[in-house]
Amino acid sequence: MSSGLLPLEFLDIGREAVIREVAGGLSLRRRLTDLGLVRGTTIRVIRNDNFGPVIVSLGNSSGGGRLAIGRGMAHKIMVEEAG
Amino acid sequence: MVVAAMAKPEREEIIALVGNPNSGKTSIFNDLTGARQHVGNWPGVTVEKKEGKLIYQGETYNIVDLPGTYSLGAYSEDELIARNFILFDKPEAVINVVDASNLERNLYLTIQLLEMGANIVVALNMVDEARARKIEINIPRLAQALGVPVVPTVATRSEGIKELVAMAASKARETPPQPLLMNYGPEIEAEINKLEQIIKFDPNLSAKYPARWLAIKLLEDDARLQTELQQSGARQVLEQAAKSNKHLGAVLGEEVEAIIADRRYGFINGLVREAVTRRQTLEERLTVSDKIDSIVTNRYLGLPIFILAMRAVFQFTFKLGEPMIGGVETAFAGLTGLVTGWLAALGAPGLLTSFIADGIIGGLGSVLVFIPPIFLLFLAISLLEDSGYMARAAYIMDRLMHTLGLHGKSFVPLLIGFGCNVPGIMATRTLESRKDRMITILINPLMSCTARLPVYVLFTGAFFTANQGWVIFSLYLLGIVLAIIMGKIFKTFLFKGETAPFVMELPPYRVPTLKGTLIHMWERGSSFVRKAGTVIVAAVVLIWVLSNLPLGVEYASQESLIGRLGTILAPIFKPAGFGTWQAAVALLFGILAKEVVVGTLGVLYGVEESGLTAAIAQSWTPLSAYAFMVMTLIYIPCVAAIGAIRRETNSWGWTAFAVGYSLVLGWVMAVLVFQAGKLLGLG
Repeated sequence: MSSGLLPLEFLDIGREAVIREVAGGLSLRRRLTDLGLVRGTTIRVIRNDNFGPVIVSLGNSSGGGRLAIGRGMAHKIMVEEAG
Repeated sequence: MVVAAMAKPEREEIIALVGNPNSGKTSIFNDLTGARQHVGNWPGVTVEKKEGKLIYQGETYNIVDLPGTYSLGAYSEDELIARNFILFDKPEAVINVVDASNLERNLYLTIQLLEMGANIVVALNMVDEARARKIEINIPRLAQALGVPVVPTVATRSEGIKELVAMAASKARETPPQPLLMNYGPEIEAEINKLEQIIKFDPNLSAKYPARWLAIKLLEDDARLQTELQQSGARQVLEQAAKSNKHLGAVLGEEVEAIIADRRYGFINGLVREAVTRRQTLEERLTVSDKIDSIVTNRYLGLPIFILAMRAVFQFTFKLGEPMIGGVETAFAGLTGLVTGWLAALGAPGLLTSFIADGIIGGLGSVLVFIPPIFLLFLAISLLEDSGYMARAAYIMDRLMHTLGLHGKSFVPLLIGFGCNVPGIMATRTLESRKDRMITILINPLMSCTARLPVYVLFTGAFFTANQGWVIFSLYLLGIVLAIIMGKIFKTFLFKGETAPFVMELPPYRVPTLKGTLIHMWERGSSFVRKAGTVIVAAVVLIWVLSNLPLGVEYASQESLIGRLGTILAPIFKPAGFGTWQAAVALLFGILAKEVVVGTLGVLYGVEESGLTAAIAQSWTPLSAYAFMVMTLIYIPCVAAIGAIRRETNSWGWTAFAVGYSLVLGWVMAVLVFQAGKLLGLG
């Protein structure tokens, strides 16, 4: 059993995960909060090419938001893989 | 009674529009105001201010479109403007536009508005899209949970707008509600209470800010409010806030601001669970947008598709624009003839005729020929933007631009600059960070616009017929390389600090509406015409006067003031290999518009444009010609671009800087090219 926390950066395409922690400064966290990337949010990786921003789909139920997240930022978002 | 009514100052009731980017706020604004809108800047900042009039049941309402924001913190200029407008301008009603298919995040802003005690009506927009995604929203229940009216709308088809107007108008007559009371848990509530008491005790503060709201903001560590309070000397509140924050951090084991955000989203989740049902499986949620995205943002296909799209934009703009440019030119030539003849018939003095024909009409014409391509370019860009593709383009380019230290979003304005720097500079409005925006504006003129092309064609035609294409390409490349270098320099020395982290919303693909696209195009295009127009007329008049003084000289000859100025300036360009008064004057006129360089040389050598190549071949060398082209590429943006820089930076200082640095850079590069070439024996 691993602790299961890993940076969003390393999540493969198609995987779902829950955000557990944002390891960043106040302004970074605030920015993410405004966009709906808070603890407990479920995200699904739409695109991750191991370079450039990661694209995620947001929310466990809504079909809505797609966000492109810079790699540096994706490195600081700690997630727990679902399922 | 009468006295009381008269004492109340009359003002038009204000209805503010607030909403997330991509929520359809602009469409609602257009629906509400129709053609009765105008665009300006918020005082002191470059953020666009759109206002319009709404006439409903004989009453006029002033609709103010606040910048699209995700939040009302003070993270960006946009957010601060939206927040301050609601706090200090106290609009009678606020229409909060919410994307029905993306409720959770959109409601985060709604909650903040409610906590501020704004008098809001929710426009639940794009309900058709939500329905198509099988998202069912129980509107009465949502309205009840929020405690405010909720009106379903489809702004692109003007559905629900009448109801929205009626609701907003009746809201505007009501007194604002009590601010929403969210419970942040006993520990935080206790500290909020303490702060509230101090705030209420201070008459200045309580008059300005809602007490509870300010208390929460201070616990959230809002840096802007801290400064505001420091300036107004409210030291006691700040001390208590610092104490509270420290205490809460110790008790709760994490930062207060994170807990506050959690609570708000928790509240929203509960609300959504109650009012929204979804009948969709995971497979169904792989929407059309995702399918398009899997191709368009593909690692290998993304860039080629982007390049093709941009090529299509330019083809569209210039293939369609070229005949129109010709049309405008013909129209201006005709106008000149007409006016000249008419003035002659009236017996007007030659000087007046020349002023009107050569000065005003000729000068304006040389810039106004850009109107067709500018409008077409904006039309194409508005289409791409409204369809949702531009956000993908920024994503694709971020991978490349990142290595250059620039933002992905900076790329599109630079690319547009190849067509014309003016819309390129204006397109920087999509950049959120002021630093990125300033850098992109400052380096935009280094993108070789189409107006420089006639100059290249003339000189390469005279000297480099064998490899004309390569020589011209080298100039474009030089511009790009210099832009990268200057961008890095500006970033290191003028706009220090980290770049805003890259995170952006990718809106779902939508079929753009004709109305929306045309309004976008018109807004951008007409502001070019208006703002650039004033600068251009001033420059035209100045140059014409200089060409005609002292009285009696031949227009634009060496004896005229401008000729003398050219003679004075010529030695400066000697190290660059083109130290003739004609070259200096051509460059001087070129500031008006760079393609004017060609026409000016024609006038000064006293030949038609067809004979110009021969004249050039006689008095220039290949090396000095190349140095001159380098100079033309880099030195001082044309007046229209200067006007755009002035407008977009809202600062004469930065405008002067843009002019100054490019002049120096152009001269240095031209000299470098000429001297290095001479050393290599190319002279």
